[in-house]
Amino acid sequence: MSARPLTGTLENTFKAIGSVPTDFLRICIASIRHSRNFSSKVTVHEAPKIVNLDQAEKAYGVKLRNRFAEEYRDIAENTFKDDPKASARQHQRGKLTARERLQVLLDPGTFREYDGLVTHRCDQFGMQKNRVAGDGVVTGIGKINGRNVCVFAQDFLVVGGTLSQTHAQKICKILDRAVDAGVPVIGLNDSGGARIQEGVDALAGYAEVFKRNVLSSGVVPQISVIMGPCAGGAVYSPALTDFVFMVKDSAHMFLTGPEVVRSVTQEQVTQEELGGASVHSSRSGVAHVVSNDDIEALSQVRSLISYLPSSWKDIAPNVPPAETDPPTREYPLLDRIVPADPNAPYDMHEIIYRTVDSGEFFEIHKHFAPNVLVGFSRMNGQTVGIVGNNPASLAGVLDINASVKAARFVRFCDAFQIPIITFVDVPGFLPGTAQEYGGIIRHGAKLLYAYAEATVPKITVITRKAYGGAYCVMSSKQLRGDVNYAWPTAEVAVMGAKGAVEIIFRGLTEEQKEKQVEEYEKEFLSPMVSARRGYIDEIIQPRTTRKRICEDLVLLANKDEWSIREATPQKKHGNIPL
Amino acid sequence: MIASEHIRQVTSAHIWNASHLRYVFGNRFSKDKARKASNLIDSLLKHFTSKSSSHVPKRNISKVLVANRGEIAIRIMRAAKQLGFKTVAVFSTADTNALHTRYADEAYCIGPPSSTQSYLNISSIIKAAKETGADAVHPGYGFLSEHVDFAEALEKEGIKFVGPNTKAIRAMGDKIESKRIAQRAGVYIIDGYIGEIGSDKQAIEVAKEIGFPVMVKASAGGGGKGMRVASNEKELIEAFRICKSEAESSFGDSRLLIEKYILKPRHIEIQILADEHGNVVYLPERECSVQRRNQKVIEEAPSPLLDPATRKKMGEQAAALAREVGYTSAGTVEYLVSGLDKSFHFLEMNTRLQVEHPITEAITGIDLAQSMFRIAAGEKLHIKQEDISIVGSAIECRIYAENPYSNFLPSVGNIRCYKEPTLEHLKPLSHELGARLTSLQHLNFNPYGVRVDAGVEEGLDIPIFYDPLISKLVTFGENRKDALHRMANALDEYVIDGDRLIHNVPFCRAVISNPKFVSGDITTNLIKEEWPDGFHGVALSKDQNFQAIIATASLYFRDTGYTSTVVKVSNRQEQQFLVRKVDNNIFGIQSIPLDWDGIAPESSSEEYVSSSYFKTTILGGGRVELINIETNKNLGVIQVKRLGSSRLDLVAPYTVSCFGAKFEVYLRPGYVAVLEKFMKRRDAVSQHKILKAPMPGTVRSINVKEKDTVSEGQEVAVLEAMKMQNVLRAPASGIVKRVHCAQGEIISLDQPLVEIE
Repeated sequence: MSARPLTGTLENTFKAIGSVPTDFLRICIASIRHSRNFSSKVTVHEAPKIVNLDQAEKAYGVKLRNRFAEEYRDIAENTFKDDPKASARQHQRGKLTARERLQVLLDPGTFREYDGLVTHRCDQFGMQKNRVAGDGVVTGIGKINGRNVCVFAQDFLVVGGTLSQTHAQKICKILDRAVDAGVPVIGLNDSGGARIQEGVDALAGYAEVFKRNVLSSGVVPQISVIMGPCAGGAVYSPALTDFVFMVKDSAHMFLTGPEVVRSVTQEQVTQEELGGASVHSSRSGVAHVVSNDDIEALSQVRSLISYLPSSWKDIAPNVPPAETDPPTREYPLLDRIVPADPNAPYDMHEIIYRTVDSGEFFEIHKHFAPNVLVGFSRMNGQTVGIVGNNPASLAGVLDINASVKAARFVRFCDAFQIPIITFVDVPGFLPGTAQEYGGIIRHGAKLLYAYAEATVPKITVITRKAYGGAYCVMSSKQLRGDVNYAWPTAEVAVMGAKGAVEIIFRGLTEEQKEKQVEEYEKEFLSPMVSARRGYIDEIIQPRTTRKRICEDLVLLANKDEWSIREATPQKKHGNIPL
Repeated sequence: MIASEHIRQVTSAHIWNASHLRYVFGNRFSKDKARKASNLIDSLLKHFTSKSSSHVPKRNISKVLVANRGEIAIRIMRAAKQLGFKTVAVFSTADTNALHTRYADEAYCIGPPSSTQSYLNISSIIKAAKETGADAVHPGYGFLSEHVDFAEALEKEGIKFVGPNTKAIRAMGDKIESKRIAQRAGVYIIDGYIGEIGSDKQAIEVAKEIGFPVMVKASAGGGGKGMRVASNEKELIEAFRICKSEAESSFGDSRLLIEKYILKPRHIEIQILADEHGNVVYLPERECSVQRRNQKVIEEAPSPLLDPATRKKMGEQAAALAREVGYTSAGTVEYLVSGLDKSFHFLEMNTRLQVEHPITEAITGIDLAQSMFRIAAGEKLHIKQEDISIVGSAIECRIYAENPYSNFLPSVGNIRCYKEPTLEHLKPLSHELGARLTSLQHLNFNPYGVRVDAGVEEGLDIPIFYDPLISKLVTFGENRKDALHRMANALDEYVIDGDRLIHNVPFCRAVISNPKFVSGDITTNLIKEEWPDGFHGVALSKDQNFQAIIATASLYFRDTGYTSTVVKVSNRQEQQFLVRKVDNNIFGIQSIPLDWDGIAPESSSEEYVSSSYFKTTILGGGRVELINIETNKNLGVIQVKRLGSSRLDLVAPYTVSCFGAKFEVYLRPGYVAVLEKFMKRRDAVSQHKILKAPMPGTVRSINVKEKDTVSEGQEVAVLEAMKMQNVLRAPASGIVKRVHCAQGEIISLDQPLVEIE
């Protein structure tokens, strides 16, 4: 794996063009025709047509023809491309065909197709007349920014992209390839579901895919892009993968469709309301990233891949920061970005943008539980996972959704050796019956578990509030935090001063209470107390945050989960409170 | 206090500077140049030394309170600090984090946001002055600067008001009274017959006396009715009749007046300085003809219109007026000048420091803010009329948070990214001018001739309560052309960016390059005449367009490693180009249709652009890149705002600001562009959107009412929960259909608050 992913230029990759769909080739040629080192003519060396072939064979008794080679030329020309009539149907829905999607997703000319000739084996219900090479899914390998990935793209134009036994086998093959080679796997889902004609074979196919999704989990990054319907059992493959992308309008995910819902619960609901991209990205949290159209979704997948290592044994590619954005950059605005009024909100994004390389922050779950932010950035070129409470939304409290969101992200980072930077401004857990009945105890515990379990470098910056249990949860020193900083604006305490005084000094007059509040603020609502006790390593000037984190990342670069002082004891696996 | 010692210190520093310069010049330049420079320095020296001998401090000032906010508060505090005074800022609760609050030695909160309760609250400001022990108060401009009661109240407390005496403020504050005094002092006022005109015969007589063209207007008139311009006798007779009948029918009052009509009116003003010892000097003029909504936007000094004789005449009359009224401190006499014959007429006198004072400072080298303090301290004027000369030319643009595309309505919002221009990509000023600026360091110009008086910085909000002036951008050059060139570049380099903040930099840039403005032949109607249907952005020339495209393409190539891209530009109309890198410095550009099918256009249609220089600066947490680029030997500054989340994005949407235009640019590889036609275009569908309470809490405030228009992301309500204020924003753009809650109401989770359709 090259350290810099951006080696291939368009020309270079075009030079290597081999088996690219012809219309794609035409476009490529068009866009680079003037390039100096590129001959504008693509020559295919065809054997000359011998007119008297049969005659000659007979007359001279020599075999002059390889029938398969001739047939293969036919197959090669006619198989690996889309039927224009069928493509038009897909285009009318505002969707691209499977091959066009791969064309956008992968570096030009890098796609190599596997199993293009596979057909299904079903001979019932008229399926014997409907055998199409590829069987509704295009699989293969390709490159993104010069790095290998395994891909499969379901083809809605072939038997509705339904999953048959052979279709599943193709997917399984590519998943196995990904694990063996240690490269990420990306699935583009656009399927009508199980191929009913095949019955239990199709279901078994699903189960095979699920099993591989589970076994590959934590080995290589798995990404699912939902670009069409994805219903019933089919939803579990994406659900098991690390990141789910959804395209607005065209993508739908649900276990039971609107008709079943209506017949069982009398509930009237549309596809969009039940499982559209906006529902899953903002309410259920099933989708991590939502895009306006196919092209945007695929472009986003490329961006995400650029942050991720190829496998758990690999490290994420280093993309050196721009010359004008060195790791030593200080940002004076950070010194005054936290408002003086402890109850006034501010947007944690602004702190993140000004701390990381070039303000780049690939946000995961942007619309789901916005009170906590998670996403990928780079610091000094190295990928980091960012977790931050966002006071601009619900005061930055932790609730069920926020806890689950952050916990899953922390575990992903830990699985793939991505250091975690946590920005803390949390007033506590959200109170109320809805939260308690919903099991905030269980769900909050997930985040606590995830942080405590993680052995990647963990750097924490308390920008303002770190109250109560939420302080413990948010990557505190005691949860094997590596470096814990506090800004001078930090307040680390069991709770706000007023609340604390109400409890400690019940029965005092208002005036006396006010005095005690002041006392409590002085005693606890400053980072000094925690710093004196060593719970905070250092109180830092906010403007230097970037510099310090970059230095710490260098220091912790060789942190190894087996040789740390508080190593995880040997066990089969822990029992995270799911 | 202004101790003589201190003055001597400041002065000697300047002398040292000057002699040092003379040394430098003596060695490095030809004799002619050296003599020229030497003369310049001599006149400066005179300016700085003439005072020491004559100065008699009457009053002790040691601590100054500046009763203002924003850029002017900082400008004045800078002068005060240079003179060795302690400074006190006052601020309203909306300005707690403001720059001026932190710039001062002490800051005092004087009340809630509304200006009547804070910056206009005389008793509160006096209390602040007393409690902080300030012995002088500078009012800046606006707010209480021309308020007699304020000056009197300060006087009563024994605090020095840094400005004119109350008698002068009062006299000049009254329009009629000021005209009468002006006439008495021999200042030209607009000629006219003071009284009713009975017949057309009389009208002709009067017109002959004051000279054609004349304006006939109804004495009860208004709104343009009963008003006619006549340029000869025949027209006058006709105008007289029409106006009479119009006046009768419109106002029921047929009395008519005749007044000289000023052709091609221009607004030109003279700065004066007067001390308490009866000395008055006038400084060269400022031209402030470029106005919108009757407010100045762009000012320059000297005026391209005036000749030395007119300048002298205007100046002498202004000085005479100041003497007549017993004026002290800095003041400005405004004239209406005809662009036709340079005849000038008194309009009014402003008894304060003007917004546009820096341009006078630039061309004269006289620090007006410091001078005000010196005069207030009782010093004698240290400059003589004959010492004052004009060096170079200066332009000022007032940068406002306002929407030039929508009748200049004020805009508010958070400044996410802010960088002031330095013009370092241009050639510095000539040695003489550069040396002059160095010796006049206190005026805050950089060696490239740019000065920004700003009251904002990154991360601050532009509050809705006050004048939305962001800053004053001033450039200084050898001549008008040079100053304009520098201004154009400074505007291109000035980065002010916020999510919802709109400012007038593009408009200023459009004016600066408007041929009419460049020619200098301008009137107060320039904006109305040049942009009759309002400002809708600027169409770029082909070179400029290509430069912007190459800048974004270079960025895209650098970040993604690609070497060819399809660029869609949406400035006024959509255009698409195929851009490729031929080699390191050469780019090929071809225009292609918007629905490009992937077939390469004829190679003969390809144009080559050489790009010899490309440098970017990352700003505002990475979202804005300021690009200095040279294409085909033209230097340009292009601002690019990245809308995507990653540098490596395959499809890269940018917002580009350059040369007064602001537009979207969309870059992606050719093989992606050809597939775009299959993507559905998403149109904003209006539908009901209900804003629900995201958590239980108390409604702190509701900022919209029914039938208000709101845009997505606009602040709609503030919900207090967990002792935190949560800003709730509109989920979609539209009109507020219903507001379901009231201020102070306690609401539960998911309760609908505001319905938008």
